[in-house]
Order: sequence, then C-alpha cells, then structure tokens
Amino acid sequence: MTFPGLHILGERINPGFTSTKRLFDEEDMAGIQALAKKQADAGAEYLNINVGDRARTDPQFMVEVVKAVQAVVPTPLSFDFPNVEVQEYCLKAYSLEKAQGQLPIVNSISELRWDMLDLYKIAPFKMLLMASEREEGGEQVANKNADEVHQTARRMVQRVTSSAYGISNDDCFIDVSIGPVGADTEGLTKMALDGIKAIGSDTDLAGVHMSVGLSNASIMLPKEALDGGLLKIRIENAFLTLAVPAGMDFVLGTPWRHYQPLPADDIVMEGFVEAIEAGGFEQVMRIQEIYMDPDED
Amino acid sequence: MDHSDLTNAIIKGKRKDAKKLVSEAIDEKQAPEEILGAMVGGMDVVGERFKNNEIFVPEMLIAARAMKTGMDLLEPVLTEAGLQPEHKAIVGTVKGDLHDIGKNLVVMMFKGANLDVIDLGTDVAPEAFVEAIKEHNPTIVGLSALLTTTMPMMEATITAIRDAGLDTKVLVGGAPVTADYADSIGANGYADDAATAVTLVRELISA
Repeated sequence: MTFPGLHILGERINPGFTSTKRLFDEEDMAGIQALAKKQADAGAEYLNINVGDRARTDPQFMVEVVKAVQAVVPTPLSFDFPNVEVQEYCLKAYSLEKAQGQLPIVNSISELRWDMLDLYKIAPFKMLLMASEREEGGEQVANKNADEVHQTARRMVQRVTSSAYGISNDDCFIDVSIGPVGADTEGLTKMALDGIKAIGSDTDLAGVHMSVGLSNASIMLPKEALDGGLLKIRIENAFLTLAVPAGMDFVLGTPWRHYQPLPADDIVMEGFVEAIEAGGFEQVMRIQEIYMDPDED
Repeated sequence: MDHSDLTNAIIKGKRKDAKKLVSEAIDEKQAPEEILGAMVGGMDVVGERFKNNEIFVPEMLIAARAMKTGMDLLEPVLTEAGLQPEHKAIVGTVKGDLHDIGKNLVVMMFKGANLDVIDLGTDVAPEAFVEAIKEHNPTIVGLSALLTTTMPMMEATITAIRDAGLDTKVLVGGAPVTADYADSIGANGYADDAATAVTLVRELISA
C-alpha cells in the first residue's frame, strides 16, 4: 500500500548522490539518461535536475543534461538552481513538445527572488515557492513557526496568481522545507507539519501543491531501529503518514523507495509522534530511543 | 587522578553523572586542567565514533550537552586559575544562507575541543567576518554553506578576508562543498563533518 495522492518528484539527478556525482564527473550522458528513465519507470511524475555548482560555472552543462534527459523520457523537469540566468538557459532548452505539453518547474522562487517570475516572458512554467524563509525589510529571514510559513505561502501565491501571467494555484508548489529530525532542537519538524496543515486547510490556497525534500528528515541517523527493522525509510514514512492527510501531495524523493503509511503502533511512528510533540532537546532524545536503549552500555 | 568515569559520562551523554563528577572533582580541588582534559577526551571519542558511523547525531548532541553541563561548573574554576582556551574560532554561515544545523554541530564540537568559539550565526556578510576577525583575532575561521547558490559566497568571504590583509586560517564545509572546491577558492581546509573539522583545526594549529 502506498499513499493515495502522493506524487514523486525524482531526486536522483543530483551530485549529492555519490553515484550520480560520478556520472557528472565523467560526463556520462548515457548513464544520466538511464537514471532518468529508471526514475520515470518507477513512477516519478517530475524529474528534478540538479548539477550542483556547475550550473553557475558551466550552465551549458545543465542545458546538456536537460536535453539528454528529454531525449529519453517525456517526464516534465524541475530546474533546481535558483538563479535567473541558469533558469533562462533551461527554459530556452526545454522542449514542451517532448514533454507532451507539460510545463517544467522553476526551482525555486523565494520572496527575495521575484525577478525569477519575469522569466515567464520567455516561456510558461510551474514554480516551487520557498515558504521556509521570508523577506522582511529587504532581508532574508528564516521562518520559525507554522504561522510564518503559512503567511509566507499566502503572500507568495497571492503575488504570483495576481501577476499578469495567468498563473493559477495549480502552478504553485509550496516547499515547506524539513531538516534532520535527529538534530532538530528548535521544533522545525513540527513547524513544517503544522504549516502543511494550515496551508492544506486554507481555502484561498485550494489547488496549490506542497512538497518537501524528504530525505533530509532521516540524515545522520542509523540504518536500523530497535526492532531490527529499517529506520530511515520509516522516519520518512512517519512524516508522510502525518503530512499527506494534511494536504502534502508531492515529495522530492526516490521513486523506488517504499513510501507507505505506518500503523500507529509501529515503534518508529510512535517515537516520531512523541518526539515532535515533546520538541526541544527532548525531541532528539526521543528519536534516539527509537534505535537505542540509552541506558545500555 | 583517574577521570575515566567523567570521560565515560561524556561519551555516554550522562548529564547528571557528568555534573556530579565535575562537582566532586572541583570540591576535591583536583587540577581543573585535568578535569577539562577528561571531558575533551570524551568528546574526542564521540567525534571519532561519529566519523566512523558508530554513533549518530543524537548521541553527539547528547554528549555535547553533558559536556556543557560540566563546563558550566568548571568554567569559573578555570577562569580563576587563569586557564583560558588557547585558541579562538569564529564560525558562521555565509551571506544569503540561513541554514544553521551543520554550523551548530561544528560550534558544538569546537567547544568540545575547548576552543573559544564566537558564533556569528547565519547570513553573515563577508565584511562581518572581516570585522569579527579584527576584533577577536581568532586562530581559525569556519565558513558554512548548505546551498549550491551560496557556496560562491565562501569564495567572496575568503577574498574579503585576504584583501583585508588577514591571514587567519579558513575552513569550509557544508553539504554541497567538496575538497576540490575548497582548494579552488583558497580555503586552508575542508571538513566533511563536524568531527573532522576538529581534527583539521588541531592539525592547522600544530602546523
């Protein structure tokens, strides 16, 4: 059983994955194409394209990757590098025809990067809107509670949908952003979940999509839980089990990972729920209890 | 004096034990530098185990908290004895980047290695790093960036530091950063994680 209504934005074309970095270093376009195809075959509805810092120093390489991927799959792409020039290159290189009319995603726009919106003059696109930070007096400020996340999402959606470009709620993907739950002493995991709930129940935001970079949640944690089962995927699934019913419909993730709801009595689900409710340092300690007995020597 | 109980309390992150042991050691007028050494030794083991994937980020945070509890008691004693940390480190996330988890882990491990840490926070402009270096004269500056788009700000920061005529050693780190990139922007070192950053600082200090 998987999550009904959950869609995958394939994350694997990213040098953060060692095997993908090798493909980039060797400029192995056939390998990149195979990775694109593997993700599409496994059900990815978009493919995220992240070539790292090379997007800036060598934007032509990003263009080549976009073209190579489009040559083998009709899946629409997400251009992951928040820079106007790089996005312009990608939008010009993107073939709407090859994507069977499906628009690409500009990843991403924040309240400090409104100039990106004018790329619409080049070609239409959908967009990832960053709700984890906001603009305040020209400064970039991190959001620290769910209301700030919700209000940032509202302002951004309002701004893009009232622009002259005919952008609708359906073109907006709100990234609420999550970090490693095992290092989160500031309640940011709970902020993300409560933000998703607030956005999901806001009728003005009906039709918008929500997404998180799911792998971030489980990094720096061990492989196995105390019950001998896998830990990381279940941490991710615990998050999804709470977030999907609240309205999150996309993850930046790996399409062949087993995303599925966890029962309430699963030890990871239980631990995750108790951890984020506890918050602060208690959250870290409760996460630890999922995989080790702290009193054991 | 054998302080292995204290070292173990830090490794295991036993905050109450650490507090009790440090407090007893102080009462018994044991050498404060040895009490400190026992705790730093504990954090070294924690760093080593973290690097080897034997322990994970919660254990590291819990150990650092136990050390902090001990240090809160020990610091006045160290100060009174005129024993200040020998080296200062300035740490911050570069301009345009609001991510602080990695940076905070580095701050924690630097403190665990008994460095005097000045944490400039996130979104720190090159000029702010330069000003802080002039004010505090640190041995080490640590730059953090989580985004591919803010990595170039590391280069801009190093350039600003060198243009100001400062030769402070600069370490860089963060998810998208690589050793090659660190070399290409003239950093003095690159660390893959917070524990490696400590090893690197010690190497740079003794070099």
